[in-house]
Amino acid sequence: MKLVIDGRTVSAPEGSTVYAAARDNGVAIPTLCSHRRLAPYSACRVCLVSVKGRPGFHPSCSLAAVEGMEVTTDSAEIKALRRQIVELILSEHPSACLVCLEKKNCDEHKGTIRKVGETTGCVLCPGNKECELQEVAAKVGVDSVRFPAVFRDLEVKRRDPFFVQDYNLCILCGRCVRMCSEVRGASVISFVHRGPTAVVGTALDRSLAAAGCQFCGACVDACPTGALTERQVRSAGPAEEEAETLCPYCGVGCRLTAELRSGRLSAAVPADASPNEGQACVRGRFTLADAVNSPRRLLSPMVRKGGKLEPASWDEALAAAAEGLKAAQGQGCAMVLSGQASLEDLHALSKLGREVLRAGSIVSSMGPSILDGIAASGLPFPPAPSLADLAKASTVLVAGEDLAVTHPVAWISAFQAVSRGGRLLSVGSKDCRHDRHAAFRLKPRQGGEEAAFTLLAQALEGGSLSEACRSAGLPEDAVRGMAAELKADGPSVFIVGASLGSSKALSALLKLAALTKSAVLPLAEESNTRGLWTLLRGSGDAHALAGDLVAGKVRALYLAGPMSLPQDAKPGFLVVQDCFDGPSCARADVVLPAAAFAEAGGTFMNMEGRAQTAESALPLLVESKPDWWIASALAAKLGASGFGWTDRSAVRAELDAARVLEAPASVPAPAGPFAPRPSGTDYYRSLGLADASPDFRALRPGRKPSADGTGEGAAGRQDRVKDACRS
Amino acid sequence: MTSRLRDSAALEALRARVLEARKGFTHRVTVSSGTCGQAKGSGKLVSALRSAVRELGLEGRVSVTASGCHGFCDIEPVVLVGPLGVVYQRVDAGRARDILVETVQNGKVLDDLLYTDPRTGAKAAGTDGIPFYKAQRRVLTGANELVDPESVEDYLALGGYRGMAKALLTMKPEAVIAEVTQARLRGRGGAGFPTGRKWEFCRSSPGAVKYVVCNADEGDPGAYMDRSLLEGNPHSVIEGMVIGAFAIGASEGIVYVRNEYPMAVRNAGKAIARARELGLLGKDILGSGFDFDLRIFKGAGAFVCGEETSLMASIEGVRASPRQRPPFPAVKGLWGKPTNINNVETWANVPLILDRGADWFSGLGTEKSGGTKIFALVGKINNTGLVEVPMGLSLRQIVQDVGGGIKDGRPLKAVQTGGPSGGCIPASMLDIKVDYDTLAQAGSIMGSGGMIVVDDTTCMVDLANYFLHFTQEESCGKCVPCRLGTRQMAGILSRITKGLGEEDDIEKLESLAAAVKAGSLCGLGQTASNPVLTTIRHFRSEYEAHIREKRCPALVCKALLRFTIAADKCIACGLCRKACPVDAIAGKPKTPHVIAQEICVRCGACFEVCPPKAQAVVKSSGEAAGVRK
Repeated sequence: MKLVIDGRTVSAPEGSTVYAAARDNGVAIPTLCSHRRLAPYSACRVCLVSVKGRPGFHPSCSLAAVEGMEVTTDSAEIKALRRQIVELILSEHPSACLVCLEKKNCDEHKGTIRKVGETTGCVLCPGNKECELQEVAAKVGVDSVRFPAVFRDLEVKRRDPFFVQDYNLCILCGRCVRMCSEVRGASVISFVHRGPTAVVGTALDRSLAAAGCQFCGACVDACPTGALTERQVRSAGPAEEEAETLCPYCGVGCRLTAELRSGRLSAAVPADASPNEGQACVRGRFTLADAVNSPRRLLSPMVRKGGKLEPASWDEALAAAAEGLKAAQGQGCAMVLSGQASLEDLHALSKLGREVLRAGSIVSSMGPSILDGIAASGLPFPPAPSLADLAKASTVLVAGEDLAVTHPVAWISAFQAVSRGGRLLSVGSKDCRHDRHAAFRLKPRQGGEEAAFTLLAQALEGGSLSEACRSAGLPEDAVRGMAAELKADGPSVFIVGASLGSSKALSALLKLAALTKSAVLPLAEESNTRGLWTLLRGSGDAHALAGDLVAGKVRALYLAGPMSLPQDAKPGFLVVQDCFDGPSCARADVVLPAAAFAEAGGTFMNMEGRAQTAESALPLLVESKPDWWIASALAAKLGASGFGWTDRSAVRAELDAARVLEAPASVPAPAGPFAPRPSGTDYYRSLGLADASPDFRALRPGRKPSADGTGEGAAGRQDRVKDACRS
Repeated sequence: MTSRLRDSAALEALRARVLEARKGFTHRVTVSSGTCGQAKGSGKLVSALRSAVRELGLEGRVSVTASGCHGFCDIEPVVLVGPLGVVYQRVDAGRARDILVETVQNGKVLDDLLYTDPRTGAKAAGTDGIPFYKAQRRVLTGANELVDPESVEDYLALGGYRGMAKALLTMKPEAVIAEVTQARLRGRGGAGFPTGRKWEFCRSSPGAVKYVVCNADEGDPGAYMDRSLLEGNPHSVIEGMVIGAFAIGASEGIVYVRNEYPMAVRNAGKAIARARELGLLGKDILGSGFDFDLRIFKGAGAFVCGEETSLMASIEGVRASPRQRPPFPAVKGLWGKPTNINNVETWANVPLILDRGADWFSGLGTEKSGGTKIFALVGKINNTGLVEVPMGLSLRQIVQDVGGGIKDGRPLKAVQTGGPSGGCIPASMLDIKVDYDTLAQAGSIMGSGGMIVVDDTTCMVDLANYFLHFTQEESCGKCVPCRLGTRQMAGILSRITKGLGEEDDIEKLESLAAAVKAGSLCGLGQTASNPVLTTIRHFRSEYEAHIREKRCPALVCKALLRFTIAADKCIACGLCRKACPVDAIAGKPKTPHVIAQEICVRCGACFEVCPPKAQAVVKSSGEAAGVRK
């Protein structure tokens, strides 16, 4: 399609707006309310253009480009109108940073001007240098504001965790409101009041937390002024450097931009790249700096001397570890790995475990994952859809997982499918946040999920259901309605997580998926659950290991994953390799400090099966070393060869050569029976996020850190191991 | 209870039965019982009349109807005695028996209840003699005098649902649209878009599901014609909507009515239920195969909800903010489906067009707009009320003939049409013909029909200030020019009225007004400047007097006033001294009183109480009067 913009003939794809057509052809029309991820809103009126043959001015953000259209974006009239509009915005937004006589000096020496009055000045402005209003004002050519300033004198809201809301700086572009409803499907905030008192807020002016906010931070990232600012950045100041990294928490594998100040991680913001497309969740957006900079970080190797852990040199610690492990080489040796370590680290460690320690079992610290559960069902392993596929699905069934809390970024894709007209089906015994978007909802009794899926399969095949529905306590019309949705044409995706009732329920779900030709997206809990599962290939049974530990059958335990040992466990010689000081360290013979994700970098395989690599974004913290390096050094101490990697890429090359990561020819054997567990990856290795961040603790009030300071993540896992022992 | 009407024969049979049953009645006493009538006690009056009918044994011969509003607010409650055509004004419930005995039984007119023309002093027995009614053409509102809103039989007796039957059973949808187009019916909600064309757009929009909506969110200050129609004759709106839905291809309709209109909500709800019982709504209406049903949506009362896209957002349950058009509601409306929205008055016109024909309708109006228009005539006028006149009547005829001229014989200054979105038309332009195009040329709009008449005691800056404050508060806050531009304009106007105007304020106002007009998202903002622009255009000197001389020529703007006592006229009665709330007046018996200017708050109490024979208190403004610059 061809159109004329400012006298120049340009081409644009069918269906594009004039704004996009102009942007793609190098004509930058200023705007404040439009946003890449959001539908046109046409509220700021800064992007007004004129069209030949049509009276008046039109917002280019919502104006459809039409073949042969002649658009003017910068006539004197438009410029004057734009300037007046921006001046009006500045009449109620502190604007001294734009019109102050000392602007130049100030820009050079300070982030913000702080010498002017409250009404006009930027004492309130966070000065994070991310002010789009400032840019637009400069572009439109506003150098003075003819209108008297109006100061709204709104109370700065500091009652919520993570970020501060100062609506004195708000220009009502609505990006935050629309982000919350259009992209996140949360609709926690909206505009309240009208006219000059219109402001962004929650129903009944409750706090964001009370209104159900999950603090994903999408609103903060979308804000074009300083109205919403991250508390940490507000106090610490803007970033000095940036580096790309990956979120280490859950299996979505969000790409993030690490913000650095004085060589330390100060914040992390979501990157505009696949799979997360500029979105993150509370964990990745607001807790990473706290986790990486945690006072509980292990800074030096330690060796137990005379019953007490003493700091030691790497050489000394590795020698002690080698000695202890050597004595236990073979069946009595066990290794525990973390699904939050990179593929390179896991390869190095598992190679050490297999080839050098000849460990009897090598297991994930989380025990069997959802992937093991699917493998155990004996049904063909369905290929995982990508999040982009999910966003295009016409039917999405969520089984039991409170997706918007456990995997918020995966929820965005599911919600996108719903916004595009897809139908959301929800099956689970607990109420979930997404239920309100569901076309049909089945709420079986606790443990009744299997019956629900079986009923749905029966409904697809036809025949009488009333008896079965009655005994399952499910309404027949909802079962039939849901079945009809499943029968409908179009791609369908089932989303299943670790909290689904039982392995029987999982089998029933997989059968239903096969019957309806649905793709299954297993919600990996950890950033590298899939990678770990692929590498381990059933090399151990976590349940059996737990039993062996209590039974005293383990002679040496290499704990490179955060497994909280049961009190009555007898681990024998214990090596703990972790980023954080945790309860296991108290019982360790040797403690080896591992580098955190942003320091070590590495490759992670997310739940879509996508391998993503991040380079090191931070220097190594004091004595800590990447896990692969530790494995390599320890192997050397143990006299093994084949571990002489000089950097991470060498490990990766070896891994690639072995073609381990390619689609396995056969499904790996399950690592023991799959058991349901509470989900949500509120931890990084052995650090509970509630321990790392007081703000996070406020968000999850139900989950108090344990008295011994182990953090709820570790405590939760301890319970799981106990449960496993009992079963 | 009548069962569902399965075809037009059944409808006509019912109509015949209704008419037959009425033959036994010799008289019909109708009481104007709209919201205003009820406020003046029409409820009691109706009860009194009904019990009197029983007491006098007139049952079966005399009927008493509580009808909708008759339009003449000044003389409520109004009683109309048919078929004599006698109109009684300001009737107290105690006179019920008199009316029945004297007028109904004895055929005598009660002189003391008749309307007296204040200009001629003549008493008028019927509507023909009352100038307010005489100059009108009450095509729509006339039915209010004959219909009990709760009685579909009354509506049928007037030929109700005949237009609908004709459309559904004998016409193609395209032919219905052609008829409406030919009638030159234009949207009565304000913009005056040709209704037939609007329907055509919606009809030709692809989509299996379409909606029709009745916009009864009348929010202009001082406008209440839609309320009166929906309260008084809800079936006419229902019938119009069925016809429109048939023409467009919609099977669902919504009446969006503001909750502040409880009687309209109630009457429309009852009428919908009754129409459904009779099969005039629902499946297979009159055996035509056309299905259509209606429901009521109660709006929570924001001015902006009258804007189409906001109204739809409100129905969808989200915040009522407008959205950018295109896409137009006809393409993408309620829940993304093609939607046609017309206001109450527009819908109410439709059955008449179908029943009486496009030529009859277009013959009522001008070359470009057919039919009549109802105005809410308010302000400094003798006859306040709802008036219905043919399109193209001159403003002078409306003000002088229908309105009975200006109160207290003062000079007319201007007429504000279209409420806060409209503009004022100065007395010098009083001969313009009232229709969409001429009003637009004059810088105003027809709007929904508010007509505020102002005399020389109204300050035009103050008037603009009032409207700007209204639009400012009612702006939804979404787009910048409307939210902040109206605020800045209101700020400047307030300043001017306080005597703090600056030399370039008029230019500033004009420039802001232009930006708000050109830049705003929806009609609310795009028209918000009109009161400012038209008052500047026609009354620039008043602005200049405020700004330069600190003088309010109409003696309204408090900050610019000065009250003094003329010593030679003061009779030292002391009334002003006693009335002064701030003890600013000093004086002794037999000594002329004096107002201490530094204490005076300019409330005007002294001016009000000064005896007419003395007229010693002088209200003045401007430098000459000593108002400080």
